[in-house]
Amino acid sequence: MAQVVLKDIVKTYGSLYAVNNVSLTVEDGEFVALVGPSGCGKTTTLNLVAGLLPMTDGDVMIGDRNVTDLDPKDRDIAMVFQNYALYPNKTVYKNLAFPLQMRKLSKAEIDVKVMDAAKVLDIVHLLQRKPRELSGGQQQRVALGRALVRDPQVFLMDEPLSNLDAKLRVQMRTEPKTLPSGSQGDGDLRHP
Amino acid sequence: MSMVSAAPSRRRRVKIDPWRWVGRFFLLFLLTFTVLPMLWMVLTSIKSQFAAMQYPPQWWPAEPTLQNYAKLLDPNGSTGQEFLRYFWNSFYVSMVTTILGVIVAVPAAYAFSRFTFPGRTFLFFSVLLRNMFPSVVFLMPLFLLMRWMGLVNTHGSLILTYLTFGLPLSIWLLKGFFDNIPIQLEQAARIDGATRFQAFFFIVMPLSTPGIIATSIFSFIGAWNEYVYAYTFLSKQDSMTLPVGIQRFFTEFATDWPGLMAATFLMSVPVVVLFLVLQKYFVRALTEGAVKH
Ligand SMILES: Nc1ncnc2c1ncn2[C@@H]1O[C@H](COP(=O)(O)OP(=O)(O)OP(=O)(O)O)[C@@H](O)[C@H]1O
Ligand SMILES: [Mg+2]
Repeated sequence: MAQVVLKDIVKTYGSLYAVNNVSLTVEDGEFVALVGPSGCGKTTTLNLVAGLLPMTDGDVMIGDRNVTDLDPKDRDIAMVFQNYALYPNKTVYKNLAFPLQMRKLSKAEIDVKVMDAAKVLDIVHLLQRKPRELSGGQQQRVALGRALVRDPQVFLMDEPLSNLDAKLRVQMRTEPKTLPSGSQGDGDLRHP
Repeated sequence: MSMVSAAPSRRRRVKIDPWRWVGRFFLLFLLTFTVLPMLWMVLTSIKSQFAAMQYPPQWWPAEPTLQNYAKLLDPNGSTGQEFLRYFWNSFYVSMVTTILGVIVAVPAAYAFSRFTFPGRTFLFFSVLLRNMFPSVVFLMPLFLLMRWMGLVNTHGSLILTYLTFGLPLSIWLLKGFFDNIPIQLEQAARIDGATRFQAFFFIVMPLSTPGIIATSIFSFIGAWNEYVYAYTFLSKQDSMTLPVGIQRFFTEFATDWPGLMAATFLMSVPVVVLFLVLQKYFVRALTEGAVKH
């Protein structure tokens, strides 16, 4: 739960400005969608906030921390990727458990959190499958689940709802607060 | 995958495809060409010295014997001792070459695949420079270099040499592999709390095992079979590797053909076993690494 501030962020590829001087404040608990035509820099912006790309210029603040020079793992964010980026060699369960393992939670805690997230997203029956054995929408729910098992300060989601069915989409869009751990997603959420 | 499942239905529909049959005959021809000598090797290895020299040859040995193998594998006999020592030397050299090769090639290929740094393209292609020339070209220069470093007559000289020969292929093959692993997987891992190294170790490495195994097989076989350098760099009997050792050993006075063939057969065993066990990874590596998704 935190405020996110982007201050004059710039990302260039050679002479191309992928993101040009974007400033934005997202209040604690606020839910913001970036909308724009393909190639306008939405993914790039999210990657900059996540720290996955070196920024050309500008600052990113999360809460009262300046995270501009922090590693993605230290920014306390969760992200859903446009192509889901599920770990293909791990089962759905292990996909959901990975972020918790990396944070050194105990096996029992991991199990509880994974089951909670799986119940919300209705993927309990898929937990032992590999990502390639899932439909597009199911994969997307797993990707969401991997972001939801943790208690991050910010949720970043890149086209997160395009493949969900109408019911779940409405549920996800209106109340990310009903999520398992009661986490409040502040973040940049966007969809086409 | 889809090719395999499509084949039977296709055969039912198309009656006779002449090219398919031409292809089959060609494969049969190639197979005969490669298998016959090996068959002859095995047959000769179970003959007695006398039977092996008979003319016209016995196609099937009248009195097959495992005597030659027993002699080679007997750790108490002098022949056995010598053979087993060569075998161990070869195994040691090939194994160390393979392990070091993987340790160097994996990070190198990963760096070439993921990072842009000054001189990247130049470096990547200069890795191939060695492979533009036949390996004997480097025999004398490398020998002088090894002598200068005091490595002549050590296994280290061979390991270093084999590494320089094997690494380019390993690096190129592995880079193809890493290129095919979406970068988002690592990014996801890093957001999930992994360091760069953990992301590589937990996510990328498991996905590239077929490639790592294939490159391991390549360098192992390369080192296992190599003759010219082993012949030049090592002159002490007890440090020799199999290809050189066998040749010296069995042709010292008069050629003991059955013994030689038995030794050669035993020499091919590790490679064949390696291949059979790891075959599925190997095939996957060659196809997966090549195709861009
Ligand atoms: N590695 C790169 N090198 C050069 N240009 C890039 C690179 N990555 C992205 N771009 C360019 O930056 C711009 C923004 O890309 P970005 O992926 O952020 O678009 P997007 O808004 O997410 O589009 P979409 O809705 O299609 O996903 C695009 O014009 C793209 O061509
Ligand atoms: Mg995008």
